[in-house]
Amino acid sequence: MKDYKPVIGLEIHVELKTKSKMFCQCSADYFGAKPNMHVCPVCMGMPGALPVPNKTAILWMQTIGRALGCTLPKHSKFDRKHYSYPDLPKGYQISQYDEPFAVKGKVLLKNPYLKGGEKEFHITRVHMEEDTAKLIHQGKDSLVDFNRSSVPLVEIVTEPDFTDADDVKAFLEELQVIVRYLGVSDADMEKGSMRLEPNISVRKPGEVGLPKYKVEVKNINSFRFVKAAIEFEVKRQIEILEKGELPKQETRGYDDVHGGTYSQRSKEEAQDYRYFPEPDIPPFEFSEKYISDVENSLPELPSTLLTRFVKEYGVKEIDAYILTRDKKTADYFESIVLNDKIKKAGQAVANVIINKKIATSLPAEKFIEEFLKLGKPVETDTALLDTAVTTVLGANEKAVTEYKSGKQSVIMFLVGQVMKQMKGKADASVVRKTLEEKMK
Amino acid sequence: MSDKIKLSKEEVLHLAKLAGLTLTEAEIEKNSAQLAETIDYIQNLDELKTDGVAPTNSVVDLSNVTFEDGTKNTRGLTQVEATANGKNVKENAFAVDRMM
Repeated sequence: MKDYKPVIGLEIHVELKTKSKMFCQCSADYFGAKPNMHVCPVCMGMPGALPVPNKTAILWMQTIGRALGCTLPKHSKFDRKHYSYPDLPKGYQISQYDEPFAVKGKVLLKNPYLKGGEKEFHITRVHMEEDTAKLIHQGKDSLVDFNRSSVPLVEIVTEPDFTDADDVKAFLEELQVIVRYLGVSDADMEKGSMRLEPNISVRKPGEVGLPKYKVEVKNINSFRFVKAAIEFEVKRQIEILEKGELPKQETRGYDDVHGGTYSQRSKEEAQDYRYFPEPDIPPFEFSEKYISDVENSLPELPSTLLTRFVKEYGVKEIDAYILTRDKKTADYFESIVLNDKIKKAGQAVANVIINKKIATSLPAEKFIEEFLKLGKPVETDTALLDTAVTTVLGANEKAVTEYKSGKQSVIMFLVGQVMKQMKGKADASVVRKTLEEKMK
Repeated sequence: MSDKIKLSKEEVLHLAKLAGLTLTEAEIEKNSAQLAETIDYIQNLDELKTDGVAPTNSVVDLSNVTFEDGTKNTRGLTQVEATANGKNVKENAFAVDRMM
């Protein structure tokens, strides 16, 4: 069984949080709205209605592309992808075929939880398309709501670089963090603004190149499920290969209740998409300046920030990883560390933030005040300490005898008694030292 | 010129399916012949030498036509207008036969 090697590629859809939809000015904020409230002839696919692309959506998609290390071609266009389904009113989806807005990228994954600490994965392309309408299955009907129709959707396609479900999970988590850093999508899997479709196949022992089939799994709405779905599929496919057969090329759905996958659509019925250039939308030409502006607009990405926190502020890698999982926490951490009063005590600040000793919801000034109090040693009133030590030693003769006869651990009990007498207003190490001296 | 195109029944049925058409036996026969004739006719395009000619993706002399995000929506429909011509409207949505 050991020589079978999983081959996994990913398709990820991310819905952008622009104000307007992709090809019309209807509101893209469909979540929770009553059916068919944010609609117009364009997103309902009425004959003659002309789509016009949303400039911000394209820019944001290109930003995602750059953040994933892609090249942004100077020339691009939209295409029509045809298939028949009630969620697609035009009978085609406006998407991109052979000239996407971003191509050939790579992501360096830095994650201390990953075997080896870091890994590189390749991005095939990132393209712009529109979301479909929402279907609500109810009784004998499927109800069609066009509020989601034509909401900007970004598709990210990776190379089949993955061989392990844990790597996939780590990559997807990083992708979600990156997209959120860019502020272009909530990337919320429960709300469906981030959707994952792994393509899974298994390479037989000694087989070269890609296997002759692949299985696409849909309906996965959590990182945990993507791992479970991959593990299930790999096992299922190996069992088929063991019998000397080839798994069917098909689309399967993930069933989170039973933890397995089930056949949805076989290759024989798979659609012939008949792509062709969208005649209603003129092509795009991007200047060098435009492309370099996209590049320059990128914020510092989580992996860069992680490296910098380790290098500049001496934070442990694992803590830097935790701090950089959301931009707000990372920025907050850095604003504190860079304050003159903190003197770049990076690891100490990291500990306090990670262990939630001080709330990061506090204004920075207040946080720093609290932080400095934490670090300060307690001042000990020596006169009071003398009295307390004498009292405690007098009241605990048995303990003192034990200590003198060599039972050193008794000292902690005595320290505790003195601290109690002084109501905690003493430095424990000073108390210990005083006790030791008195008992010499 | 090449040989006359002949379409198999399977090919015609496949195309009909993609186009969302249900064809009777007689229609399959008729469409098969007509479609073959059409393909035959446009096949003379193959005689043109197009090596090195970039495909024409757009015939309009325009590029980068976009709108600014969040600008006023002047084409929006109300829920009532949107569903007014629906054959089967339930709970303000268009009802179709259950898909899953």
